[in-house]
Amino acid sequence: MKPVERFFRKYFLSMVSIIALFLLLNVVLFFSVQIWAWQTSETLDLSISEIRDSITLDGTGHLTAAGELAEMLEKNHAWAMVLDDTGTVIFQSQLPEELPRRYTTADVAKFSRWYLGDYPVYVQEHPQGLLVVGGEKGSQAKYYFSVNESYVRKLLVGLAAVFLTNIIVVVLLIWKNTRHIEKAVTPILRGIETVSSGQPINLPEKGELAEINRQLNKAGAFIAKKDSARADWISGVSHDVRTPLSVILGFAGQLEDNQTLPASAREQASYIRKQGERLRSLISDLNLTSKLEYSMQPLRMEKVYLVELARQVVCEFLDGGLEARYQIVFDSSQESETASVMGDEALLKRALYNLIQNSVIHNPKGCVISVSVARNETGITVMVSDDGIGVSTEKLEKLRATTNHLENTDERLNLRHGLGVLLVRQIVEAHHGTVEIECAPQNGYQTVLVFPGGEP
Amino acid sequence: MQDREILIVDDEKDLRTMIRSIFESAGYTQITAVASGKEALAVIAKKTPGIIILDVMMPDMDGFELLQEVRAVSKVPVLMLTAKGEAEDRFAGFELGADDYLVKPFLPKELLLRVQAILKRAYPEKNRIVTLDAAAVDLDRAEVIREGQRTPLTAKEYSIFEKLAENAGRIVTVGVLCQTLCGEIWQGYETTLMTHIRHLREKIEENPSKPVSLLTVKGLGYKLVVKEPEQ
Repeated sequence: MKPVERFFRKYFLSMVSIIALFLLLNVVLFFSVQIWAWQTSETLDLSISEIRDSITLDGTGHLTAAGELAEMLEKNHAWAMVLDDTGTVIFQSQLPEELPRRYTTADVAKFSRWYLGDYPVYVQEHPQGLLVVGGEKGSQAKYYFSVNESYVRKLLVGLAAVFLTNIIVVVLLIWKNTRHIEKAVTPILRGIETVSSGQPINLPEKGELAEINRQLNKAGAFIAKKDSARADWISGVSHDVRTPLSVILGFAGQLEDNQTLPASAREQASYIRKQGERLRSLISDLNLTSKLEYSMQPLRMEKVYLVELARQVVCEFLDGGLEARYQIVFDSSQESETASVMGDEALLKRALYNLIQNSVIHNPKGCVISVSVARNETGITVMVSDDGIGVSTEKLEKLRATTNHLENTDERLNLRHGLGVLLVRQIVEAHHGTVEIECAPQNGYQTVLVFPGGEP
Repeated sequence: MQDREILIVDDEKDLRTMIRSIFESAGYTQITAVASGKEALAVIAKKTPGIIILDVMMPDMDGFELLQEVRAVSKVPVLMLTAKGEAEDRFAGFELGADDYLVKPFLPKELLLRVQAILKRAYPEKNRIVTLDAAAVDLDRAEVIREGQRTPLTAKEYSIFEKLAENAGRIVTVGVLCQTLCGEIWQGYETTLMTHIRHLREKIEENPSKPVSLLTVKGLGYKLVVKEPEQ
């Protein structure tokens, strides 16, 4: 389930990074707006210090301003005045008519913070008194703040806490949501994997995604039905072929043994019999392999002594009229004598039979076939080898790659030589064993079956 | 043996003809072939045959049903022919009391050998004497006859010899022989078996160290070579 977990981890991380990106974007936008407002709004183009410096005492003890001051104030719709210590205006320039010419200390205190008759004002100390510069009505917003310092500190900490809490809550919610989706989706993804591997599927049809589960169950059932229909079809065909083939084999066998017929006719009958026998083993292999493929072959597990089983199979060949150009050598170790596995005797016999049969079919000029059974730490090893012509390297690769899926072999299903290897692999794998094929061209062919365990 | 009545029950006409011709060419003279279970029951009601060769798959009454009805009235040996070859068929047949089964398609020889084996078992002949190269063995009396002298076989020797004689000409594996000697758990009895084989050879072979009748097949088992089929 690694890909699914990786997918959800990625999904979660992407959600978190979306939130982070969102925050960053907001910070950038906020500062951009500030800069934009700062740069585009009209500001008082006056320097209070400059104004102060331009208002000086003349020789008569009166305050006078440099010539350009009035002009500058005029341009900015501003005015300026200087109050002496008693609150009397001792200098003014462009001072609006409606404003008084005398101010009490209370007035000064008030306008220095807020407005003077709706004019925003700026106040600065002057050698002769107090310089008051006023701007245009409504041109400036003035606020006055005075807050407790510990309150400010707590507020800042609190704000940071709020911010952090928000982040944590958002991340947690995303995590929870992701988990929720994961929980709902994982069985479906597993189900798809199960279906694609050809296993039976049964998802609970509950929850928000019940419909999808139901559809998936349906798909699984459909595939299973098709598989079983296919196996049934193969079984049916092989069944229907058996009776006619019995008649063919029966009569061909009798003609072959009929001493009153000419030798050539008997030889022809023997060809019919031999080909009929090949057809017979092909049919039963095909039937069994399709049943194993779709797990429709019930295994009858019992204690099987592989040495004895191998002996019986070899004897079947030796007693069954094996031609003289073939020789079978049997060998077994003393320890393997008492070793048994749990297995289906008929199927295991079939696997061994097929291996020996393969050596016979592939070496029409004859060969020595060795069958041996040994026991070691890994389990019981059954080896069937011959000193025949072997197979080419490419063919060996193909044989090794042969999986137990009928589908995969459709294109290169080499029925000329039967389903031998495929069936052997299926049977051995049904017994949790392994199949190793070793071979060199012109240098024999060897199959090693290893069955785990092997109780003494 | 060839005078035993054989009843063939199969719905396929060609198959009936084929089986009939197998037994005819083997010298059997009393062969009846019928197409259905009902006909078979009618034949059996008149006279019980020596053996019934019975197809499993038949319309109206299948082989298993027929076998059940036959077994209710008779112990006649039955060989089942099945087209399925599946384990269930085999086990179902044995449970109902079939003596053997054969999967289609089969070779004429296979059918003949199995029928002969069943007949031998079902109707043991008197004076079963196995003729060997240097001696003869009287199975009924468990004695070796050699140059007019009779030597008795021990019980173990007898059971081994009987098994080998039953399968004369074919290899009998070490496992099978040990099993006849000691029953289900036979592992580790190989040396005991070898001792009995040696004693047997001393009784039946001209030269026990160079046997010509009781042969060893290396690694596999033993084989009994008889001069002619037991009479």
